[in-house]
Amino acid sequence: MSTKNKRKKKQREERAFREVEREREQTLRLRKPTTKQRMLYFFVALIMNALPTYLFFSIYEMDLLKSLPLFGFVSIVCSIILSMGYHNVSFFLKHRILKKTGVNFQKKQTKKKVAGGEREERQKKQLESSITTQSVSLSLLYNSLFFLVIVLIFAFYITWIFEAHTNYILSLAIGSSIVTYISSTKIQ
Amino acid sequence: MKILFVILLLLASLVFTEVEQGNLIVEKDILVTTLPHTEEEFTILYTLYNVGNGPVYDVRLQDSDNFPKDKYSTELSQIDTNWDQIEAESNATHAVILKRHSVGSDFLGPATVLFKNTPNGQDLTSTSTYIGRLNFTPKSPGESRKSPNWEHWIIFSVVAALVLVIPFLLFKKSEKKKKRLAMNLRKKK
Repeated sequence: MSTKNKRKKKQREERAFREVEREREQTLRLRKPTTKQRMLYFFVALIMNALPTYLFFSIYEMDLLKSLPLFGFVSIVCSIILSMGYHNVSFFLKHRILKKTGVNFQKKQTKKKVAGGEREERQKKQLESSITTQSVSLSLLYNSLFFLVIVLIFAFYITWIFEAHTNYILSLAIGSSIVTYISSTKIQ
Repeated sequence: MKILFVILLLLASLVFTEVEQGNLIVEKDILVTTLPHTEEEFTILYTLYNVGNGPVYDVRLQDSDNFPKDKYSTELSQIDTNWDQIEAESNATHAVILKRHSVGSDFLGPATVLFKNTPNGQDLTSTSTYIGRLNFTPKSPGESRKSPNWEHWIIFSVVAALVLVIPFLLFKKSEKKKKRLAMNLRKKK
């Protein structure tokens, strides 16, 4: 093979490698939630944990004041687990929607200024942000519903035989763990 | 003869004159919709009806023997009570809230009511109706979950629906925007 061809082949391989690296960096960037996203997921997870808590102190007649430390601790821990599940699904959905749109979100690195290039970049950013909103809202809806169903099934049909406090801990912990585990398998 | 007739008339009037006399009928009832469990409050209601034509005095209700202190505790009121007077054709009530602390079976017999027809008269006794045998069992953990609890489920459903509707609306709004932007970008290509 002539040196010219060898050089061309090497350049092609380098370009392909850089593409793969760029895609991996973008994936890693999307993989980590922003602080705003983390706060949103935690807040929503806290509300979703408060709903079954209301049922426990109204139907199972748990003393609210006496059980407040237990409610607080279990809710916070399960909210953290559930918020991880929210982000997993949101990440998976965003990746899928980005591919489906058929728009190239990579920044064109050219020295020349293309006419209307800035406007196009702005529109791409807007599109990406609407895709983010879409994936986050769908993830919140899907995971919250799934979590509520699992918790209610466990609290009233499976773990009801235990004492109210044990039932509360088990149903919430199992519910949030199952949701997060299934969401992590989607990514894999 | 005339004097004899007058004496006979006086005697007859004494015999046939109505003496005002009170008479008590006592009802003892338990006010529950389901059988009470241990450590669960239940109410006993005593109703005293004076069916006589005169008042009764110094009325004393006694029922402590049916609820020994080692098994039962009272909330807010005492079991034994008294009234100074109950007028004719009127009634009086007394409610007691109790709680049983141990598992077991009790026969809740009649209460005794002592009263007098005159302020300084002799004590007369009346007994109430009885409730019968009650079995006190501990409350099972599944007891409250089986009852309807409609109001709690309605509140839960409304709040859950509100929490789920907001992300759904956001999803619909962002989907429309995404379609519009994606179409614009594809046209430019």
